[in-house]
Amino acid sequence: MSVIKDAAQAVMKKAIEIAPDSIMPGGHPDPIINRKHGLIGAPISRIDGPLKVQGSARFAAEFPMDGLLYAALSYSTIARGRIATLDTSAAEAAEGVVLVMTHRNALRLKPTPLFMSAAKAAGGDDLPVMQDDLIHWNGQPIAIVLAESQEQADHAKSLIRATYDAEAGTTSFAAGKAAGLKVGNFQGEPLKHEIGDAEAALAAAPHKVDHIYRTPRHNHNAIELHAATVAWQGDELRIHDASQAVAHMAWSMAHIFGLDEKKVHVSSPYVGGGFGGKTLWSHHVLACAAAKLAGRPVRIMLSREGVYRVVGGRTNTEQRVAIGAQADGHFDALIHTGVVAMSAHNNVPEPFILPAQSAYAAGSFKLEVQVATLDMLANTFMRAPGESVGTFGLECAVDELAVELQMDPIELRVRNEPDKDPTTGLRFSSRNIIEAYRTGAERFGWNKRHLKPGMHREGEWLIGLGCATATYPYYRMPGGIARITISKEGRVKIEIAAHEMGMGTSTAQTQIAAERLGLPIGVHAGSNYHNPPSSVGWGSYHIEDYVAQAQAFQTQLTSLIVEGVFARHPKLKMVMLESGFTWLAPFVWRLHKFWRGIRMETPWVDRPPMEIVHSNIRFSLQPVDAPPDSATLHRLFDHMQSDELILFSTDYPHWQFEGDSALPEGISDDLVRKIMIDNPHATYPRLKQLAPV
Amino acid sequence: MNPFTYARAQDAADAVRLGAEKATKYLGGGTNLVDLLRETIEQPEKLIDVTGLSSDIQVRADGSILIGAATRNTVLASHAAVRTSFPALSRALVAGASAQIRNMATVGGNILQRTRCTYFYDNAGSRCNKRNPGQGCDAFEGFNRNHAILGASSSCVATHPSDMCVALAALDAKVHLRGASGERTLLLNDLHRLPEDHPELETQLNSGELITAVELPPLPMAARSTYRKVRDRASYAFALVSVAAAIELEGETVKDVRLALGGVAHKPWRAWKAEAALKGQRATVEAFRAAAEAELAMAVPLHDNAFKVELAKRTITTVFAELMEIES
Repeated sequence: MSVIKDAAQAVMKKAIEIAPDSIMPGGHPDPIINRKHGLIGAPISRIDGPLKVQGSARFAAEFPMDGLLYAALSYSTIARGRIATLDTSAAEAAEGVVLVMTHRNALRLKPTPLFMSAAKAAGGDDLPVMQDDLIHWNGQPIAIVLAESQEQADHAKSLIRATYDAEAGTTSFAAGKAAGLKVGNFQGEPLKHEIGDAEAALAAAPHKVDHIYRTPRHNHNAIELHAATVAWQGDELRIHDASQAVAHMAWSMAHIFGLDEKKVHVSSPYVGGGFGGKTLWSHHVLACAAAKLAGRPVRIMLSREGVYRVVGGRTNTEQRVAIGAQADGHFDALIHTGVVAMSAHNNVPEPFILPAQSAYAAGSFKLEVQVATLDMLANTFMRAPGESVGTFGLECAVDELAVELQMDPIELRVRNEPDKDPTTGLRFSSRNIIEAYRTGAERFGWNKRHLKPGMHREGEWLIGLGCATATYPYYRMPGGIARITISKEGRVKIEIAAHEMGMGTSTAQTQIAAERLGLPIGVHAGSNYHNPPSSVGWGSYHIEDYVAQAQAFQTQLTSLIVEGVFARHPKLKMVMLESGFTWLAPFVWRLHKFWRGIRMETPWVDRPPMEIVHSNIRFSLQPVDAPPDSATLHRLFDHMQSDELILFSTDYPHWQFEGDSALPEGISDDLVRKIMIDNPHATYPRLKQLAPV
Repeated sequence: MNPFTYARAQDAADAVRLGAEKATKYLGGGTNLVDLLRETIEQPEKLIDVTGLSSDIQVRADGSILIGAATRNTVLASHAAVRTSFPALSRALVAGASAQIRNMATVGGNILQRTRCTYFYDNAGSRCNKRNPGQGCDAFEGFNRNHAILGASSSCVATHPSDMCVALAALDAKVHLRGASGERTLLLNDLHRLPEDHPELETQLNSGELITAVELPPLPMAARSTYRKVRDRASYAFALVSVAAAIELEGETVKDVRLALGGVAHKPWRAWKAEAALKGQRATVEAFRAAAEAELAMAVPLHDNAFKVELAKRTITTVFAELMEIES
């Protein structure tokens, strides 16, 4: 990969670090993070569960469209070279076939933007898709067939015949290593750290281990095959995708097809497993290009073989882990180096040194990932890229050292616990590994384990206890957008560029939204005229309207309480705005008495109306519809049996009752404090976060 | 997949009549054949669905069992008489594939399933003598961890993938056949062929001949039989090595023994040499190991599967020890 791309990635990484801090949970100014309604963690059923069980959750390959065509791909069978002949005549003549697209008749397209090369780049490699006769890996699509049915497309593609001018490609790891190595780059930074002279420290250490660990290549294998249903509507492109990155996908496809980003609409409401593999691959580009050429919508669903051909996975690794230690277990040297395979057009060298960068304190470090270049499918992210296989090597070596030192492997880890990040020097934002080990050891009965392996047998199983430290960083990716809509009925709709990949995201996000948006609902006098404020109909004069509004609030409150709104939503707060409050005490007495008498009629009203009003309803202060003397005011508050119901408000710019005085005369200092500060804070906690003006 | 016609046979006579036409294939549960159709490795013009044929399981007075070829694997595995009298067969069946596939797969189809050699399946990209006779074999020098160590030839190193057949081989099962020229019976051990120079010929079946039933002859010693499958993951994987075994003692001496191996050869591998080595010996771990050594002496491993030789020896030894309930 080029220097320019590396630099672009480095800039991207910095941008990610800076930008979203302002909305980082627990940071500033996110004022409602501390508001707790008990919704997060509540054991609720998955909201997508019934939909999936009924088959009504619509996945990418299930969107119906008029005139839909079905796609099948034909793949190269050599790893490097050129297409010499490509005979598509039998496929074109086959029943139901509408289009066979190859590099000879494909639309001219820009190369795929490589992931991390721009904020919303989503490609696994930066190769042009079907633009020339060059072959870069075994399995590269050489033709796409569109037909009226999937079976017709599959049959037709089996009739395509290709011959190649093959070049000597590099396809074995050994050959790739022999051809020369380079230092890997991840997120714009070289995967190389040296602190002190680790090799010398290792050589001098009284105790040491030095081993090679190998991990195989891993293929993505999500249950839902990679699929998309795509359609052009004029110059707008609609993609129903199986995606982990809808915003990235839209931007990248716009780039490839030379469109405005807003003209590409990508949706992905349900994903049948992502694991890092559901980003942009060549099948997307081919389906959209062929749909444009055919003038009809296209559904593409890769076969399982197709996933292995087109979608990258985790590369194999060969890792050396060497640790030099003192007799007390302290590490003098930690060496974690090795080689991974990568294609020339890719930027994901499995960064297996990530765990070693921050897991243990050591007197010296040598960490490096080198890359052997192979003619193969691009690598991509897969379930903890780097951490997964890197932890395997590192933690095996620590265990080997524990055996060498005859030391408890947990104790060895505890003794090398760093007080700050050992390679960057930064303090940890959170790190509870020692506590985790202590608690885990207690719960698993660690101290009862056999020191020699193979000592505990249950049936045909040998049972052992082991331990390993796992790490995973806090990643944030750019490109997302969120929209929150609250309707006047109080329904909240949240639209985010995130994905329900089967882990319950939509359910958890709903809980989080409900928790964090647990806002009071305000009811304002006469904001929306649908019905007259009283049963005698619309008034002819303002005064009728003003006076009747108190009745309107009473009937509204009666309805809310008796129909059971607060039984269903016991934490819901409502604030009556410009309602007045002198009517409140007799209204509540009346409601309360009738409830006591005939509550068998409304068994769902499970609390006395008085209690519901006290816990769930608040009233704005102005306009004050009470006489201007303090004795009457105090009696009114006394009748309400609470000093927590009234929230300070002005009626600015109206002065219907109080003129320019913000507070009624003659109320006690305690009540002023309640009205001005305590009650509003209890109702609107965000106010507390605001600096005093 | 190429276009084909489909017909459903009413009975065995009907099936054989329909199956006499050229380029015709019998279709059981379709768990293998449909894959082969999709990959265009099999290109029949006509499919005869034989799942409507006999799926009876008859337990006869002499202890033998006659199993209709259309019996689903799950049904056979859970049959009470099979579980008590031939536990190795029941265990082999449930070791195979997945529950969904076992629910579909038939006994006849299981016997006739084809190898899962990757190169056999890689229609467009690899050479295969089984798929295209005379083309060459890319498995021989390729990735051959799963391939044969016994009875292979330079033209083919593929293995037979069935678990069920390994148990049937050990249990002296017979296969009832029906063809245009009438009915006949073969030992399962004689049904499958070794590859030699013609790996495309996998069985002794004549063109259009149909498996109608499998017969388990009476074998009281099979009540003490089992099946052990060793594979790269604990479920839904083909055997690296599998062992079906039964043993009968007289005092401390091995009176009779049955042993077959899976995952090691082009056919379910009946271990005649090991059986001969063990008969009349004292039933000890050393004797089991020696018998295994005798069988594997003729093994010819490939570059990725030398481990199978030792793995097979250890698995044989362990399985006999388990049947004897002694520590291996």
